[in-house]
Amino acid sequence: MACESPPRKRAKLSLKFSKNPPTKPMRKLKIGSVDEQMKSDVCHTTTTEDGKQRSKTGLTQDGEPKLPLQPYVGFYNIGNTCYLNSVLQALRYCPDFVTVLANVLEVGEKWLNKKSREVVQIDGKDPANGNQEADKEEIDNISRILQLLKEMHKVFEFMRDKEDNFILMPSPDTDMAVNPELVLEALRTVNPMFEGYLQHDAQELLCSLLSSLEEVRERISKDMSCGNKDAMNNNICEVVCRTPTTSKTEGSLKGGCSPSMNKSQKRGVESPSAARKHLSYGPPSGDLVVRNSTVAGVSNEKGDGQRSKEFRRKSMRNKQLECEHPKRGENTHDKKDVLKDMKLEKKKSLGIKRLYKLTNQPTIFSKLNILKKKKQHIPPSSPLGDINKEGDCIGDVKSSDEMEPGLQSPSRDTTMSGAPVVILQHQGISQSLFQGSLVLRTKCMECENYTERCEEFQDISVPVHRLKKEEEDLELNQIEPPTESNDSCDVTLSQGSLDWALSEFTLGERLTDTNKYFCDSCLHLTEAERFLLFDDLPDVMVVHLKRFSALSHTFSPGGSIPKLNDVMVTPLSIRMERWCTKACQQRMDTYQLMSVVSHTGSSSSSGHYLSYVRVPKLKAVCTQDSKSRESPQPVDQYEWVLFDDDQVSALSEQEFESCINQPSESQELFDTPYLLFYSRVTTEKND
Amino acid sequence: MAGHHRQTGKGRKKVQVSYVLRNEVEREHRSGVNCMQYDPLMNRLYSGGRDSIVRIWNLNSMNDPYVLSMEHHTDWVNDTVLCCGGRTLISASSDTTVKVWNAHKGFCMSTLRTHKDYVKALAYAKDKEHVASGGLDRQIFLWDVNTLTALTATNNTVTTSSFNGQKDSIYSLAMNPSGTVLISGSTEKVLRVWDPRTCAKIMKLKGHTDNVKSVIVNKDATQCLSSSSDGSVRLWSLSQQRCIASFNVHELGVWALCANDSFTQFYSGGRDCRIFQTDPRFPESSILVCNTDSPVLRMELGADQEELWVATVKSDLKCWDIKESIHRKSGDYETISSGPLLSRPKETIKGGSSIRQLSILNDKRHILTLDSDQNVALWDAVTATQVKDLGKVDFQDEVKKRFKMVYVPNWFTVDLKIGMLCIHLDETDCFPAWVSSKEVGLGESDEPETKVNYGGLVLKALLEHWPNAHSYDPDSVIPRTENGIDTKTDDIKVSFGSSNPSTPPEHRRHDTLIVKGNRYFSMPGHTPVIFGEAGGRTLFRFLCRDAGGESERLLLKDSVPAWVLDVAVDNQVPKFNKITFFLQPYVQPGNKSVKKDKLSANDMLQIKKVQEHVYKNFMGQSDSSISGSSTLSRRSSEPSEKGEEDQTEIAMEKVELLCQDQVLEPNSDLRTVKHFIWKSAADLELHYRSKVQNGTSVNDSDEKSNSSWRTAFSSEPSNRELKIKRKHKSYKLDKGM
Repeated sequence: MACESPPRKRAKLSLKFSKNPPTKPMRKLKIGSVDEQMKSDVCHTTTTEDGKQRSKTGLTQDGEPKLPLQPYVGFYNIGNTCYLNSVLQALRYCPDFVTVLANVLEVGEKWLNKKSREVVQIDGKDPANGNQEADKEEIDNISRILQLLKEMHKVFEFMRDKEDNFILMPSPDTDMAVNPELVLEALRTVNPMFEGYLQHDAQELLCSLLSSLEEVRERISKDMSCGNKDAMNNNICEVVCRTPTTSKTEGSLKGGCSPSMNKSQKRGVESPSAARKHLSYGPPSGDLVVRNSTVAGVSNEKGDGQRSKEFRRKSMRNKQLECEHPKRGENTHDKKDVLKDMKLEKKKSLGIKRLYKLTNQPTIFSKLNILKKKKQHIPPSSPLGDINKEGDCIGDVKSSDEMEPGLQSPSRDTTMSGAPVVILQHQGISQSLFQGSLVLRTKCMECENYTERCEEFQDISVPVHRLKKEEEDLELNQIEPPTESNDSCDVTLSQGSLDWALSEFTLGERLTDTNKYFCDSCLHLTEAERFLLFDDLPDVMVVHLKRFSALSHTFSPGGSIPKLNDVMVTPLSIRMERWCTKACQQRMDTYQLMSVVSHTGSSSSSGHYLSYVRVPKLKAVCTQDSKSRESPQPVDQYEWVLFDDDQVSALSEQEFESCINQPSESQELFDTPYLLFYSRVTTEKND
Repeated sequence: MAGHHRQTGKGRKKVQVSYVLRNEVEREHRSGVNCMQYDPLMNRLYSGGRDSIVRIWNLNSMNDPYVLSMEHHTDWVNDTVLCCGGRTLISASSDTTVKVWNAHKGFCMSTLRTHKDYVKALAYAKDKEHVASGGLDRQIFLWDVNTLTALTATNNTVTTSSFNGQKDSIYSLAMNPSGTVLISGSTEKVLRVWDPRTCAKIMKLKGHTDNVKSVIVNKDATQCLSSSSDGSVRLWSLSQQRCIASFNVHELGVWALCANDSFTQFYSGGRDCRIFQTDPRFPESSILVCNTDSPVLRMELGADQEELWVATVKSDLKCWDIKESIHRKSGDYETISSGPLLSRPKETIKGGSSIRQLSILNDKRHILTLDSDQNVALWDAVTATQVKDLGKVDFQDEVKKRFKMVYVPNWFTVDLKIGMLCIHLDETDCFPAWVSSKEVGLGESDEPETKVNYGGLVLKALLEHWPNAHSYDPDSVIPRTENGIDTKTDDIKVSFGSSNPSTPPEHRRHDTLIVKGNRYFSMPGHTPVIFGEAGGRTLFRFLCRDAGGESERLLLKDSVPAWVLDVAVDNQVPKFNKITFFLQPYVQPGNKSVKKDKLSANDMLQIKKVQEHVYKNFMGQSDSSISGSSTLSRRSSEPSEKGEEDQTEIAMEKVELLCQDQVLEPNSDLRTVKHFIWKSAADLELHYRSKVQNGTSVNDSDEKSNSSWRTAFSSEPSNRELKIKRKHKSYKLDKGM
């Protein structure tokens, strides 16, 4: 069991250990009682104390061989594809990324079908249509992108299945890695830049992926907003109804790989969760519909759940979701069903864990809570806490009178009540996980009025190093955003911290001398300063460290861009207020480091990409699963997993920190963070 | 608005010619007032405004306090100090100069041009008669006032101390009376303290988080106060080199500070339109003295330090009676009541309105303006006068109402930085605006039509009184009607391919023996004329009527830009703008025309002239010498004027021109068509077709393409054709005569 094993630094998957299948401790853990859980906790703590030594020996305290395999699936390197592997891993663990991917995919495919049908129709009627070619081109483009998204989604699903299987039946012979070839192929059709097997920039790949996703999203939203919504919804409704079948076929095609998981179920699970999430973005008028749909989904699942184990597991997942957000409505019968069926314990725990990993990151739910203005808010301090309060939650729901009974009855139909869900999905694709907005503010030094220009961003490229030849200039011209708090201004930010880098990023220019600003209020050319402020922060903030700088004085022969290996301390969490506009400041957003793509090597054309991902510990999930009353320490809830292509190892938070933040003597081997993924944690959560 | 583009690029500094449209005497400030100085001896107030004028007010007669204006700056006056016991005033301006004035008589004694950018602040050490000036060029200069006042034309070298190491634009300066410390506040957000005697840096005071807008220092230089755009006022101990108190009563940037001599009370005001009185020894002692109607730019203590003069971004100057609030002293720790201590000012010196918005009409001559009192006025940029005060009408409506579909190229830019219209002429784009004198109403009505150039006319008018610009021409006896003015503007040159020869017609105009200015109009004599660099650095300013004065004459000779001399003195005529266009037979859309003749003509050529050209050259008229020859550029010069007109008329009857499938007005000109109908930077394409269904009038060469329109118009009644024929006959008769 992964969580049982003492955390090791970059432990590699090795056949040597696979001879000892660690089935027993894992089982114990899963079905284990509270006492056992406690014990294992203690065990864990002791092992971490001198983990370093043991990581070498690979033995636990009691001499048992430790678990060599991690229940995480890596990617094979199929020829310099570590840039792809690392980015895919980071994205995979982004809260809701997979959900959004699935939604966009679904709606996108429907859109594509409709469009291509339209084009065919037009083709028949009026061959002289000038727009047709452009339309066709667009459809081709979108279909290429959708293909890429589809492959990504497939691979993620496949990996999840694999991980689930492994946890269920850990086998030393399991091939714990997948081949990203199909994704790569699809990627190449979208962006020919990635052809061949050259080393590529992970950030370029990320940009390419995100902008592709964005392109589909925007194109569809555009159609949705201008076209007949009802018609569209109906169409998508069809998709939703049809999806299970289609994906089942997919599932059966891949049946060999995923014997215990049926994709259709997964999708079914994701939809409600997505629904909830997107709710927060939807117009208030749509809320009722949305709520109903959720209820429909839940009760629907309840009905299904009695029919098969598979469905029960699914409903359990839903139950988990309900617990996270009690307002969503909980079906007590459902719960009882699940509790009765002790045989499903294993699967249940699995499901919960996966939910945490993939959809149930705290950010969305706590945000929802704020927006829905819960009457009785239970701070979701930990997943366990929520589980413990499950009963309360149900009561809350019942008393809150949010569900209309009349609406529940039709949802008991075995047929999918897809339409409301569709609305959600429509709303869902109209927002983006990664997109935020920046404001470029120009302030007149004379009258102090300012003008603003809004820009959207998907990642933030920050410097890691102040260039020497620019240093003097910067010293003359640099200004700090005025939002900076009074106290901190005396302390000049030391170079090499993310704070410094972000300040540097938002730092503007001053319009002076011959480049003065024409102030509309003064009607005069005046001095002005220009700086960036965050106006809207995304759920997932991607910080790109500009380690590859193509500046002339650092150019190395051979065309490759040298890398700046300067140490940049990566904080595990960061507050953004000081770089925000007033409105944005009030939200007090805190960001938690979620994954890191790092680069080892000395130039853009050489080296290796790795990714570190923060995942909830399996143990924590197990604990709550066994209905333990004990609250686990938040520190123990997460662990870091290092993905090095097909090799996977788990790290404790401390190990991870030392890994990415401590300057190493041998710079060559030291891997430097390159892309940082921060996900939003609201203040409420912190409280 | 056309004139409101931002200054961009670097490169060589070009010299512009600018002039201001204003009244002869401007008794009221036109815009915000940046600075004030109180003279207790004369009970006078000096105020320097954004309208570039320093005005003197006699506070003994508040009914009519205006004494005189000190006009020599060309941009905002940013700071003033009164020195030498009130005899000398020194002013700093955004025109990058510092000027020394005789304060009593109000004339400018000398101009210091050492700064390279706006001069924002001055500081005065009374005991030493030293003045420091600081600006956006990051420079601080120290001046000995006694030397400055002794400057003459021959002895005009000044030595100045400069302070190095300043890193950012200076917005505020302060010096103590004995001149032992000089403190500068800048966008660097720190206060820098210098020793003016040695020019050595003493210290840096850090704490503000934004630009430092105002600094004051006490007499013995132990403490200083600074206010900043960050909204705080800070009290610093210079001996301890640290901030000892911070006053955060303002919500927005604090722009002005003013303290009494004993440094026991200070007043602060700024963007939040509130003025607080605070005892620096007691940080909680702030009292809201008054609210102002607009952000506070400057405060000055008046008589017995019991009055507070307040200048804001509006032009009024207000005096608040602070006798009472002073006596509250710091002892009263009552909490600040919700309302201000004073509700209305004791005195007000009324300010005028400033122009806030403008729209240049399409004739590129008239400008509609909207001022801060919502008055709309119409101005004539050519004669530098106000045409009409339209009163309080809707500005946008008026702009729409006055829209004319006529296109004249831009020949000037205009700005409103001083609250009045200031027109700028630039070498590169001041001469494209050729117009017909008749059409724009210049000259007598019986005069023949003349092509005039706005830029050229204005430059001549501006230098009308400068003897160098007068010309003596023996040939001027030539009667006006035959003076070579090319009234025949309808020449069309046909050139194939890329060759496009331009031969502007020569025309000179000499009416009398001594030619002054242009012969159409004169500028108002009080119009200020400014030669300055495009960035705002003023080189020379004079009034139009003073150009003949002795010193001005000499100075003008040195400062007039060469490109102005060419036009105003050497009478070089700016070139005509050529417009190239294609003239083709009209074809139905979709079909491509066979041949493309590239033609070139003056951009103000009227459409009817093109019609005439078409009629004569392509429509196969009886005049066989012309028809069929596409290379012919000049029409035969024989026909008398009447016949010519007639021919034009016939052409107008027979031919119509189209652009973008739109039939063109015969009286509009090529540039108007290009601008309003063609709407593209590419060469204009015109199409012609016959107005009547008459096969014989179609040239053979155009037969093919014309067949389409013939069929299209075949149903037209034929009586029109008869009429045309009749006309044609009469024309022939005329010609025969």
